[in-house]
Amino acid sequence: MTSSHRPAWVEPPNRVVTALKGMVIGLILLIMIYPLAYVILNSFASPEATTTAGLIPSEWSFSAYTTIFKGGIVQRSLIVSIAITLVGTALSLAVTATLAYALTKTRQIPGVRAALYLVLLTMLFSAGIIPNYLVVKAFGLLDSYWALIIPVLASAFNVVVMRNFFMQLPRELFEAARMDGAGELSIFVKIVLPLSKAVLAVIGLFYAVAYWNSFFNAMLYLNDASKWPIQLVLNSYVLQGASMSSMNNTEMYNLPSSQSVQMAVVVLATVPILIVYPFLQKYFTKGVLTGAIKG
Amino acid sequence: MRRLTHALRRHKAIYLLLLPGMLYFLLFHYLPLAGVSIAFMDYSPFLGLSGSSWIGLDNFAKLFDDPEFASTVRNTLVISFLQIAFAFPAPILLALLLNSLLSGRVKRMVQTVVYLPHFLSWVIVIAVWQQVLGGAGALADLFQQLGLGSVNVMANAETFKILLTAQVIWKDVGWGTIIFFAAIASIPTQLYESAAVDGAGPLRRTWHITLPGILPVIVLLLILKLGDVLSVGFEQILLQQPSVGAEAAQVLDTFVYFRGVLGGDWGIGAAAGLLKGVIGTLMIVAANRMARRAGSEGLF
Amino acid sequence: MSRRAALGLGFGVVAGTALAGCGSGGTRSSGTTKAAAPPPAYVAPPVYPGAIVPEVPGVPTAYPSMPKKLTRTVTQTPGRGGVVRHFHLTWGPPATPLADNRWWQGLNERLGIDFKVTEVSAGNYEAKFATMLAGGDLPEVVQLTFSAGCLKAIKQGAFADLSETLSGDKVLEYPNVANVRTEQWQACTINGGLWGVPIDVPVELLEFRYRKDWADKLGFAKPPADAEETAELLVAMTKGKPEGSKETWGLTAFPGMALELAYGMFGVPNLWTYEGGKLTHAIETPQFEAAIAWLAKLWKNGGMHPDALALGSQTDRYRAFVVQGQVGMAVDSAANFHRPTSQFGKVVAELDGAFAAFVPPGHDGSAKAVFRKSAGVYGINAISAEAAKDKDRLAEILRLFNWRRGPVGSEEWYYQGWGADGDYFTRGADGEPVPVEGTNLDADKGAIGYGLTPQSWIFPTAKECVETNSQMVRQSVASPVEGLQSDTQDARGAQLDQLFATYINQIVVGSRPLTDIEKYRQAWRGQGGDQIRREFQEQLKGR
Repeated sequence: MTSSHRPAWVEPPNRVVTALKGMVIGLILLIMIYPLAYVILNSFASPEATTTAGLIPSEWSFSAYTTIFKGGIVQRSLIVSIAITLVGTALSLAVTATLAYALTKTRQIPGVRAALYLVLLTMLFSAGIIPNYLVVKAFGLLDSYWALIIPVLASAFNVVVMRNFFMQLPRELFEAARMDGAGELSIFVKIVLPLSKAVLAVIGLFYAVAYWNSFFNAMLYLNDASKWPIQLVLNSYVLQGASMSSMNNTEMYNLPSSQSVQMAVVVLATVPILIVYPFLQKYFTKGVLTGAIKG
Repeated sequence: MRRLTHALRRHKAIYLLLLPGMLYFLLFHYLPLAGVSIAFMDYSPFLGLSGSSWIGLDNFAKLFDDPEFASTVRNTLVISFLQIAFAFPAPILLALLLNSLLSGRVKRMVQTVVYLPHFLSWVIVIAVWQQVLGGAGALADLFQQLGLGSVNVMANAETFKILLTAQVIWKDVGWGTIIFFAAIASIPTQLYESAAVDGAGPLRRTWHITLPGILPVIVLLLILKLGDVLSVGFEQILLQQPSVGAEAAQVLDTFVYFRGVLGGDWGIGAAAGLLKGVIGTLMIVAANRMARRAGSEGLF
Repeated sequence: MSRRAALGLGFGVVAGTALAGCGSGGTRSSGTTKAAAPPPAYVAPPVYPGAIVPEVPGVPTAYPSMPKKLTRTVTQTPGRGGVVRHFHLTWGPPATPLADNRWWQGLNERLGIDFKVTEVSAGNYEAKFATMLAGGDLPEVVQLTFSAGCLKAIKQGAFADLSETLSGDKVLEYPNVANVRTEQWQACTINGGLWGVPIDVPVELLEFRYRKDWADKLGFAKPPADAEETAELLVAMTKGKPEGSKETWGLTAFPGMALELAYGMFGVPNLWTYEGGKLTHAIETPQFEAAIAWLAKLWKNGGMHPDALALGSQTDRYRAFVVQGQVGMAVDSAANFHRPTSQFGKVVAELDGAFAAFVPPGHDGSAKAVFRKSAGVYGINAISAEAAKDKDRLAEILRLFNWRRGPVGSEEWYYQGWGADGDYFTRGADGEPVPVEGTNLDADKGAIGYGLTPQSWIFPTAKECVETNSQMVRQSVASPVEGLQSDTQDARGAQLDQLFATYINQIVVGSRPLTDIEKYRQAWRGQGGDQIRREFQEQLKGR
């Protein structure tokens, strides 16, 4: 944790302004924390006690969690999700950073501008699920964990954002390095990357969250339920509204899971990815650039 | 040709860096893009691309001839522009507010909390909203107690688009700040220091240093957002449609869902997708040109 | 009547339901084209001592207790040892993986196959089904619904036509499959082909329940006798505070339960009426208008939950209200109320008779309510055309179906419902299965066990269940377009359902005037209704 020590050039806080800010922020916090509090508290409700209108359940119980863990599906899917997220994020960051840096050279190098257009166009035109499925199948990725990574390896949005940050880096630094005889590769590795920790952290977070949250591809590409990631399992626990209900079954041995079980699955599917954030936070709450130059 | 080999040799490193990413985009985005031909077919998944018949522009005609199409596009655009006007600047304001906090600890704590709602799916978000703002929710109770009659914000067709925007802001405002924090973090501290020495107060520093510092990201995101005007939260809207009806809540994606996916007609979806792409491209090109004219780097 | 009705009447819950019931028609056609092979012969399933055999066809045979002696109906292992894949619809978490799942392992052993299942949530069904079709990856057995995508694939030949293979007495080679009723086979017959073995449901799946204890407290000693009184009761249930400070409502979800009730009381036709060579859709009738007017008034008087429209598509929240005792009237599949182990069964037991079954009255108290009858088919277990090219393979799959369709009281049926003796349940001296502590068969089975086993009602209240159900079936009518085919219906069904939500939902909650029903009818006609009518009428005239 950084201290709240105030740099000499910052004026002492104004009481009124601080109080005002405090109130605004307090309000925001309250509104934002409500749903998650609701979900967590209700995951500890006994199945009968869940109230549909309240934050605090009338009767507490761990039964939702014991029910879930007895099945074994959730534990397994958590491991799958963690692995996919780790491997996927590392690969995606590597591909995105290299491509984004290369794409900053639109002025200097022939072909790069065309490449940038190609990347941009993928944001606007997408092929749709069936053609994508056919390609994934053609590469033999069906029923493989790679089907959850390779087809979504890079997002044009992230590439463009990272490129934008790279473009903001002060040119003088590159010039100096070039004078010293550094090649493009070493400039990229030794200057660009260390100066871009903030954006790397952000884009890494974007990828990690995207990998963690995706279930649709897993649904399409994995037939074997024992390979499912957590979000697909979650999707099967929590009924998804209208389209679902029109197909509702009539003679169901298993009624849909009780609300507390659904909430418990939501908690298990959400908390692991929430933990990532505080670790990355330090990279973008502090001015990294000054530190880098000094060092 | 010789120039190309020359360029290749001279900029070997850059082309090498370009290669893996471009390979990915070609294989997993451009290869399947051949499937866009579905837009001109009476496509049947079983018969496949080779077995389905070509029907020219019929799928587009189905879109344009539909009595609901005009209102669908209107709804989509209204919602989109509400979001650009309100949901887009919200995280910028929040990021600036948080950035003005002195205590790093508070700043981080607040940040961590505000980004939480992003991680809950729409099904849950809407259920929770209903418990607060629905007809039997906390707000309705309050109105009742105050003798103000009944209120159900969640089922009011007239204010539905505003409700959608509010939900989007609530869910994603914290998440949206992250990228601006990264941008703020890359502004050299010396700039603030010298401004302060020159007598600039906190507001002026925000206005003259922070804002210009994050402007390139803002412009970039805005341009990208404009390219996406015809897509608005499918799941969010689909789930709430029964309460307000399609007249207020039909957007292009739900329109395609009911006619295409549930109607077993994949061609309509592909046609709508193509249409979106073309319009998005035009929007982006125009926005980029404007941004450049205004002196910004723009997108490309 | 068909699947649509099966879907439609399906549940109190279901947005699509009511919509399906309303906007969509029954759509398969029985052989209009070729000289059809005779339908598979029908052999009534065996009846064991203790059975309650209903007089009304389509009401499942029920048992108040487990038959003492189980009969083995299949002597030879049906499978040949290889992999057989199924595509299954689910409504809950996936089954426990094979390695930790004794029920699945035992099933493999008994079937003599390596049974592989692809499970897909109902909400993702269309996308998954389309990609599998496009990739040529259809499993050997696919659970089909009657969605537009499925019907299109059927018509284009993705599945095996069994009409020859099972025609007449040929079905007797698979005796348990011959227990399927003729009208159920008809519901699986589309474009002259027979596309598989039905997923069995009762022809009338629903049972209405109401809180008798509340009604007593509120001064309604008897079940309501007409629509007026029903509305009064529902309003009293909401406003009369029968549970003290706990909030309660008469009805919680629209369309769902509320529409079901109103349609029944006012005798809204089952999708269409056919008179004098002309089809009239339910929504074009005065009964429909009366039903909607009643609902709108009920809403205005406060007889419904204020979030009813949203709850109409939120099955689980709707159910939670029932479990928590905040609902005055509910409708659900009958078995869900009667099976003591189900969520609702527990509520019923706890309330000890106070959550009573009832049959809604006719609107004016003299005529009886009219319900909608289905053919008793929820979907089709179809065999992929590719797999069926090999005659031996086809025969193997049909032998597997035969085993899975083991009738109530057979060993095969018992295994699918309760597992091997001692694994999950142990049969006591009286034959009743007693759960083994720490096991959860439902979790292990997931959706794998669903789809082929026949309907079975085994619970202590079997007699009451059969009685109520028989009465409802007696008061129900089938749709005149049952077994007919309309391409427009297939393609536009979902779109027309959406129109219902746009107009009728809003009329009920008072955001639109009742007179907008006319606008709705016009929109419905213009967006495909008239075309559907023409298509059905032509076939009716050809009969």
